[in-house]
Amino acid sequence: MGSVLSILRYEYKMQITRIPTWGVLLTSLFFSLLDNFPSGGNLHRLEFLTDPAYLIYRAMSLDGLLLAFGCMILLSNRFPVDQKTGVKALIMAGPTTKEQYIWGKMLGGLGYTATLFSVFLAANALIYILAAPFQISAARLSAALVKGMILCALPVSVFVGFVSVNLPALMDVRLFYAIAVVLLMVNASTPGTSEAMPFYCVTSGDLSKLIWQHPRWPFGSAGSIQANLLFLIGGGLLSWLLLLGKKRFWRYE
Amino acid sequence: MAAIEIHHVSKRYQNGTVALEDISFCIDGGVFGLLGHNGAGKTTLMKALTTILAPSAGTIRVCGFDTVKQGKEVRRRIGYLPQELAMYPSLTVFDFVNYMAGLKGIHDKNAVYAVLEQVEMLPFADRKIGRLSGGMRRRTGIAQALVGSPQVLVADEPTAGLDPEERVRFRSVLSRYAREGRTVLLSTHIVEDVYQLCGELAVLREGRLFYAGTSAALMERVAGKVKIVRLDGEDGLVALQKQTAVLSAAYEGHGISARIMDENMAFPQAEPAAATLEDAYVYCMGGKAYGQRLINPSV
Repeated sequence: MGSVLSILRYEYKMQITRIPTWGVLLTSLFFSLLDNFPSGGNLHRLEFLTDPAYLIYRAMSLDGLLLAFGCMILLSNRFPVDQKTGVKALIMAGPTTKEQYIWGKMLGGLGYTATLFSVFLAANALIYILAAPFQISAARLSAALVKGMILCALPVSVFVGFVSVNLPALMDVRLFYAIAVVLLMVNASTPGTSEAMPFYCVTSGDLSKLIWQHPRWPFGSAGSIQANLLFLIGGGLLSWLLLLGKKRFWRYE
Repeated sequence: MAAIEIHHVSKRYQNGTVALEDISFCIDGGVFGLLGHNGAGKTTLMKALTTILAPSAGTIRVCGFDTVKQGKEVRRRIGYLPQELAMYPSLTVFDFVNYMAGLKGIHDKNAVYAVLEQVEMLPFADRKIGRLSGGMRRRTGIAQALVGSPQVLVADEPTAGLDPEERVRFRSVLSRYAREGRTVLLSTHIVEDVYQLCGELAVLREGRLFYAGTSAALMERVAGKVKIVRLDGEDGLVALQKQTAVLSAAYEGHGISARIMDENMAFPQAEPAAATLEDAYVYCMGGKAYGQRLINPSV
């Protein structure tokens, strides 16, 4: 357990202090504010923007995709960099097991992604509260924020954190980049609907509908929500299993 | 019980490359040198010792534990400095060594500060690794290997590329560590480091063991046979190379000064020279016409 915590701690530290991390976060926040800032134009365009839960839902499901994609790219070098810097040989010559090594990296990726999503949603909420020209229910905003972070951002962080760390150790990193781009394009071109969304939607899947529901078309597909959750968490765990089973990733044992 | 025992170890990779072939020798303690040219199998042997690779045949025991069957016990007792270690440029010196210490189960900051002081890196503890010179990075590398005071330290080419001052500093760290009753295995192709540090050494060539024993005994085999021949030019050197083993050639002013191995005393008029460990090593590494297997009969 000590090894896992050591790896998690320093992986998180290295990633969270990288300048590109804050570049990705600020870029995502910028586009989110362009879309969701409670200006006259946006309030006119977006019928439900006066509802704080709608803000969190929209920030998470639409602009959160950019943040998710950025995290995928930034996390993709975690195993390759150890190979390149010789650190992996050091770790293999020590008492750390393969499982501890992989879990430490994965949890570091999860913590990193979850932190960024939390900051992203919280920053959106804070700017919304400060700038809105109308009264906002703090309780409703807090509830939406908590739902957003736990019910949506956390499973997304599992997917992004685990898959982005593990897959590049299984394939050429350029192939991983191609997969990430395809995933982004597919997600970005899948329009939101009051009907069930495809399970493979990362941030705009039906989990996000737990944050806010359309008053005229309340959503009610538990199966679709479960499918989305299974895709996100199952996808993350599958990437772990694939790496665990890879021969010649670790010592001879 | 020897600190390290290597018995008939061979390593063949999946692509058919034979990296090691029937290597056997023992290391009792102190600083032991492993010499060999690039591709001789030194790094493969280091990796087998540190349990990263398993030998295809033979056994290796470190502090009495088999590296394949008791790898966990071996890993508790070794510190490893790999040949290529760039580390994480964004971490500070302290953070990196503390990270590696944490992986070894050491959560005492004082232990980290102690090793940093040992390698003279304490004043730079808060500096990021990306901003260190090559010598400082190597010292940081050796610090992470020393944390926890492992019984056996395995250093793969630790002084390659370092300036003379750093190399002297490194030697001092390694010899001080070995004096505390521990074993240091130093793999290098820099003969001077072995000469300064190691009482005993092994020489690998193309995956095979060429020599294992004391530095003095190896030098003794070429003692009295090293001579200096002064030549006018390249033609003379080419002709000389056809007659005998030329250990080195230095271009001086208008001529060439060649150190030769005069086994058959064919150059009685040549100037005798004191044999060095480098002469003995170069002779071991010579071509098939000159090389012969010099094995310490006690191994």
